[in-house]
Amino acid sequence: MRKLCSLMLLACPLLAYTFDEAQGFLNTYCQSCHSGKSPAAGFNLADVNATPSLGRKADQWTRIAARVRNSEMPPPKTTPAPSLDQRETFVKWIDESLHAEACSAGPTAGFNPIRRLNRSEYSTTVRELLNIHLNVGHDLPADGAGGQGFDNAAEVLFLSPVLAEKYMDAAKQSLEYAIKDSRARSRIGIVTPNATLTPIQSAHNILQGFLPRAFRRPTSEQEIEPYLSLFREAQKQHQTFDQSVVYMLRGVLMSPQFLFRAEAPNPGPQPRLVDDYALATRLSYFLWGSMPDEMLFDLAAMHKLHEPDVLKEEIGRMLRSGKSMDFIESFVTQWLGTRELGKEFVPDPKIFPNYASDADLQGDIRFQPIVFFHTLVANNAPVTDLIDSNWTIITKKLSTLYGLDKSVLRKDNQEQPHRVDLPPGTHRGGLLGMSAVLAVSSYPYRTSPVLRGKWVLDAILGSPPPPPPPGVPALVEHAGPQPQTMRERLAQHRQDPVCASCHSRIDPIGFALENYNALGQWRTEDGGKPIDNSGELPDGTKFEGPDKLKEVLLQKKELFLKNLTSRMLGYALGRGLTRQDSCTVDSIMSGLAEQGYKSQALIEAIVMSPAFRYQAGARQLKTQASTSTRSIQ
Amino acid sequence: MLRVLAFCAFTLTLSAADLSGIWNGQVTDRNGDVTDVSFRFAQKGEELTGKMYGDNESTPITAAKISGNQVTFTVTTELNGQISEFVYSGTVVFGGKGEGDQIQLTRKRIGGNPTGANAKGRNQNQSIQLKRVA
Repeated sequence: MRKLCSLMLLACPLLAYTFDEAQGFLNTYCQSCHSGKSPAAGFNLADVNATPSLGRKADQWTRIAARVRNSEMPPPKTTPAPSLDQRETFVKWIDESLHAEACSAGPTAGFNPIRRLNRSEYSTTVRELLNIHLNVGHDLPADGAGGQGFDNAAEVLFLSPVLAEKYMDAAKQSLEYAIKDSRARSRIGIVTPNATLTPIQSAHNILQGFLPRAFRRPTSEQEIEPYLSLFREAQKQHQTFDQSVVYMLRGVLMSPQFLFRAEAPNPGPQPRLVDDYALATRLSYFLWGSMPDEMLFDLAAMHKLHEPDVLKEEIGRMLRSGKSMDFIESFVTQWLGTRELGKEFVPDPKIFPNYASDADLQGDIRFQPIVFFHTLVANNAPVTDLIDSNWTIITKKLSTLYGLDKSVLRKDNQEQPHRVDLPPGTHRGGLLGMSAVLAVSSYPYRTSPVLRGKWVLDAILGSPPPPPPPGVPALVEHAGPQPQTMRERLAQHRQDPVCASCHSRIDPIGFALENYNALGQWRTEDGGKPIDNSGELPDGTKFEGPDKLKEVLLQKKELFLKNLTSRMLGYALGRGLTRQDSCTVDSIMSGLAEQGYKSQALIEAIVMSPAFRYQAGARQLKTQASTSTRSIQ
Repeated sequence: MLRVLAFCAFTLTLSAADLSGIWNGQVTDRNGDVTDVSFRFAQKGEELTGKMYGDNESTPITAAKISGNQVTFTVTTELNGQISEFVYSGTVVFGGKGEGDQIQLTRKRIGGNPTGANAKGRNQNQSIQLKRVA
């Protein structure tokens, strides 16, 4: 049963596995180094030999799980060594035990670390703050991914001196553009001084309106003064009024209050609701990737935003707004890894000249999953449609690429992405029928059942296989014709028991998708041989082709839902999830099932969760393990 | 007698109720696209002021009147130098216990001289059902 659970990726509780068995594992494989007066790395098994250690020494258990999962411990080539099954069972028991321990009090608020506006957030925020149509973030470097795999994670959004200079340049560029634009001047509130309005009065008026919007909260007279001093200083230097305003507002745009998202800390011991303005900001950066609009600010000022009916109404309004496309594009492309398509990852132009020469087709491929997700949310369709659906998003060029009958297209504007109902047998429902997904899970020049299997395990099921053990050779790539089919070569690879333990669950998934070439076009032959799209999982589950694979994935929808919920919660919170957050994930998932897995219900549940609406108390923060669950998986 | 009492109670409810607050609704444009329309009203007796929220800036409402359950106001917008005037008029329905307040509005574009293909449906009346948000 244990083996079945781990190999089938099922969320089976390991009820049979006990604390004593876990101790047996540690004593067998770890005791020789981690005991006595001078244990290796300062870790002594005596620290974790009693059940209360699951609560008190959760960090230590987390590190043990990570090192055993990644085959770093016991060190390679030492004997005795646990089998992969033993490792997985042990690690799964740790995960479940820590989860149960952390969730004893139910879902709780988490920490909300200070973070810089990332490149995209900075661009949209400045654009809306100044009402300019200029991509001011263009020259800023791209942000790395952190937390649950997104570039809005606080963990990676620090500010180096070099980056600060780039932001300074961006602020100067945007304000110099804005000062010449009548719409932007109106939005900033610039009134040219006249007989009844002195320059300093005008500057003060500008700051009174501009500063609360820039800082995303009410500001005091005291906070205005430093920026007014900048204006005075510029005037002393005989700068014009406009130049002085630019100088003053550059100070605002370089202020940490603007550049960083920070909330007043909760000094009390218990969790508390975040203040209304902080909630407006959390909401707008989640669903719009930008600053709150005037209505959100007004609702915050009225202290109405925390009222459940008001909050739900606002979620609906924000999702209907075109601004939600920023959230959906950012979330979907980072989750699926399709952001790199056309950048880091480019299909081989010699093999796919139609792709290389057609910018429209490239755009259609890239946008298909984004528009699909947007349509899913707009129609409040179930998130299980992401696995399989009887509809998709298509353009005229995509229909040609996919070999679809033109009759499925709408009558007009066929070049634009639009929703179509799929006739049976088209194999294009859900994400797995999309070119963007199938391309980024291939090599530029051929498909890879291993990459595709790994992609499905990671992106869809949230259970990425562990890294290969040290010293395992990669499949040798041959130039020119392959001496064997890929299936034969992988079968050879799996003859090594070390390789077989993981590849027996990776490869079959990839084989089922072999009817799609590296650009996602349907094929029945590869290199003159018929495609064999059959696969068998270690538990004996057999399937043939993508449609049957999707049926198997739908049978495991709990894993998919947990993965999607975790990723979206991590994106919403802008940080890696903790074990306490996994309780929130459980709670959201149980509510989701009751609502038919509706996509808006998922987003609503994330916003309504304590993790999103509350600030942790000082006592709670002390006890929370700050380790990201993703980083230890 | 009962009907008279019910009528009195109804008019009392109307005069006691207040449009002040934030309202939101959806409108389907001539291309079939649905967009949100949001307002903030402030009411003092029969005097009504307020603004229509926009993507970047709000626009004040003008010529606003409220009489009984009838409301009318105008919003003037400017896009690329082109001024457009929209008159909103309709009926307020104050909800009972457990039901939200609503305003059933009609939006009519005033003036202009639409010609050509772009003019199709430009001055058609549009229905909006506003619901009180806060």
